[in-house]
Amino acid sequence: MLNIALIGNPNSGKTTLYNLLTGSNQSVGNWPGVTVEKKQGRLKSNNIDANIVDLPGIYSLSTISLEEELAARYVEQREMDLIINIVDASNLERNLFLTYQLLESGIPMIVALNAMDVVEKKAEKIDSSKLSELLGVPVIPISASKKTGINNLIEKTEQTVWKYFRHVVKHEFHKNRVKDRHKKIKGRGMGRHGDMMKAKFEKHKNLHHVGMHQNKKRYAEVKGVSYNDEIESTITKFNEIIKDRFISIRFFEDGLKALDILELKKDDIDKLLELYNQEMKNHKLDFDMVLPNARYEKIIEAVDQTYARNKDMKETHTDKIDKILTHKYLGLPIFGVIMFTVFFLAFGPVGTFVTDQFVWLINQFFTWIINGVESLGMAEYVSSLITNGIFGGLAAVVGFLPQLAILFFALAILEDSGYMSRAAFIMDRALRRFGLSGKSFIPMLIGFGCTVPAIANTRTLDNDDDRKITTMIVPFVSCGAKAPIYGVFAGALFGGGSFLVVFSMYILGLLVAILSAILFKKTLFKGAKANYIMELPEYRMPTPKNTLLHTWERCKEFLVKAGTILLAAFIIIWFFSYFGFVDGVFRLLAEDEISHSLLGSIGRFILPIFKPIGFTDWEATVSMLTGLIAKESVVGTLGILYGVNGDVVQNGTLLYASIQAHFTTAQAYAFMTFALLSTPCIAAVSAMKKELGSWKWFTFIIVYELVVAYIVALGIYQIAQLDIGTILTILFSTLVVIFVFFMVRKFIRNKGSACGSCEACKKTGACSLPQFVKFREETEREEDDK
Amino acid sequence: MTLKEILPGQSCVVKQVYSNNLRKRIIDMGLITGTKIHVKKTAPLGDPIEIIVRGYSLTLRKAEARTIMVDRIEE
Repeated sequence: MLNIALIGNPNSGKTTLYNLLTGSNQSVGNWPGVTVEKKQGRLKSNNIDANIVDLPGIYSLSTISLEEELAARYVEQREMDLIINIVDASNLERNLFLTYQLLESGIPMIVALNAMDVVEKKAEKIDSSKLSELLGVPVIPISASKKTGINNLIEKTEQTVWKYFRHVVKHEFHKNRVKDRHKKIKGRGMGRHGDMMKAKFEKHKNLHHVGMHQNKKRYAEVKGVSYNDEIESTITKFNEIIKDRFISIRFFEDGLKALDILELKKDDIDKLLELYNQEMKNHKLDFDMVLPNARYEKIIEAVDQTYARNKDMKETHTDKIDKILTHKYLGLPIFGVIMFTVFFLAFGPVGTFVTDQFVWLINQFFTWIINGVESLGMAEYVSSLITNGIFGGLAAVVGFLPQLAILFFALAILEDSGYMSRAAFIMDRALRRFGLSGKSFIPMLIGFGCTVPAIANTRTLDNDDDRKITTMIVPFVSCGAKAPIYGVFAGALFGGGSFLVVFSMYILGLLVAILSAILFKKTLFKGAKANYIMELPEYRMPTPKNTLLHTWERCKEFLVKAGTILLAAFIIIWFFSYFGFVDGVFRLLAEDEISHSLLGSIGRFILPIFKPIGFTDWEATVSMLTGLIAKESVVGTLGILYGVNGDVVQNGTLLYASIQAHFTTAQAYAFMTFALLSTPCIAAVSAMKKELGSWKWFTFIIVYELVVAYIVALGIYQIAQLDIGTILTILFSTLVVIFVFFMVRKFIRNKGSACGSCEACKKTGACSLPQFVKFREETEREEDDK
Repeated sequence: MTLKEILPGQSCVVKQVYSNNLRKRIIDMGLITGTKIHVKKTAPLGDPIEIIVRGYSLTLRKAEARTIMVDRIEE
């Protein structure tokens, strides 16, 4: 099958176009070895059989993040037969930069000139046929959001495929014909003859594929891009060794990194490096700027000839909106209000109401099933597995769905409209202190509601390290399901001060999250810098279809997860909680016999470990274990274990007496701390595994969470045992240590270099270059002035 | 002078982009010797800054802005 890659800048409407080109015929997988989504789908065409790959959005083939790297590598290795390059017509100049880079690859290409409606609205015009002539490839004006020009694009794709790959397509047709005929005859699938044809076809296609990648067997040759003599002479010199014009150009721009995909001999690489250093002197402009400059010159020429600007336009609607939304003083409060609204919708009265209705429905449904299951008269343990293990667990998780759907929906609107970029712009300064970039704020905030969508949201971060760090710290932020725990304990033991106690839990969680971020940045991800360079796209009205599709995709992901990993986990937990020895006989237990369960035995067994942090009875450890299903189960389990009748999750006061009997204030506080900081629920754990990708990181973070939870709870409990004098001494000495630390740091900083990025130059010796010496002096002088 | 010193509302022309993590990206985004930049605003907390270059709006931190040497121009 033919492979078509959809490539374009971020915010160019790529995803919308992808959905239009493929319809519902999509599949989402992962790129090999990494956790970046790989979306593929079948092109909506009756005439050709082609696979469309949606590549991550890139500005240039020189990359700064993992996602970009994947897209760039895909192009460099020329794994596709055809490129559809989506270009944002309302931002033509910058978008065409990538277009020129793609043209250099020599792969057949079609330019989809998107957002034509925006251009027309501004009373501007683009001459697409002239542009097509200048670029040497077909240019099809479209509007993905208004769904215009899509059929033209598909038609042009078919034509282009015919032009370049008649050979393959013909076989494809033949294969389909054989398939159809056999379907008609046999009524299903392909027969032996079909299989033979298929094998023949595959063989032929593979042969053909190899040829195509060497640019040999195409029916028509693709016109590349030629530059001025000065540049061409350099490219030619590189190409004498590399023998691949595209890679030679990439080497010109990216240096050694571009050669990774080739297998060059060491001598050749040495020769190339020598040549590189020589050529560096042959250009007037800074070597890194030579090619970009040449491209932009071509672009400006092309834009001048094809783009009729509206000179009367003074202020766009984006300018007007931004005047308020990123206003010097109003920007922050508005951001606060927007975030609060999102949060309030999902986790406030609205979300709670919808959830309650939904949970009621689910319960009705499950009760119906449970009754049905019980009436079947199956063995007792089978019906217990189905009712308690599977449906009990699923109900706890699926119950989150309405709130998640609301949250995803609100965030999709913010993202599609272009506000998310502004949020990152506004918050960057605040989060940089912790080594994170502005975009990390959103997942942290969502974390207060539910850790699962928060972790899913880390995917919007550009930088892989940022993404990992954010994923690892989000579970420390106190999620909504932990609130019932605080409610019960604080209410039972702290009386009037309970509000402060609950509040302190939230602060503690945030504090541990931030300190962990700093710690990770300083140790595990040393040298990794949270890069920030971001385009502020124009505001767009989010289309209902896209927003809903976005929401649905995220919800589906959650459901699939609940259906697979979680199910297995629930069955294991069910087994441990509903089986145990009663009077020496191993059997299924009733609801109120959990004390006899295996879980109970484990709880008793591990109790000594938890003694130092104030756990006095096994009921406490067991409830903590059941918290793995969902954090509010902690309270539910305590209710069962202490023999309280009624729904303790809904009505915490029922538990007050038991808590007062079993916990001191210090023990309660330590218990809450441990519940807050230790491993989150299974749903969050599996989300973490998915985002972190590797078992190494996953194991690390689980251990880290347990250790941190233990140490902090231990500290709190032990200090609370001390008399006030000792506490003050500890407090005072801690303050002194912190003070000294900051003084020393300040001292070291002042002696350091004038600017952070000079360090990098010094290592490469670039600082000694004439232009850098001048720059260094300038920045150092500036620093002295301060 | 550096891009960092250009106040919101002022314009300048790029002279050179010095070494930093994002140098290549900054160049590819269109900041090349001779490119005109208009500084639009600073974020509410004082950093990053928003610039208009080649007809679109780009935001970058002052740490990077100070490695971009420019000449101020009057409009």
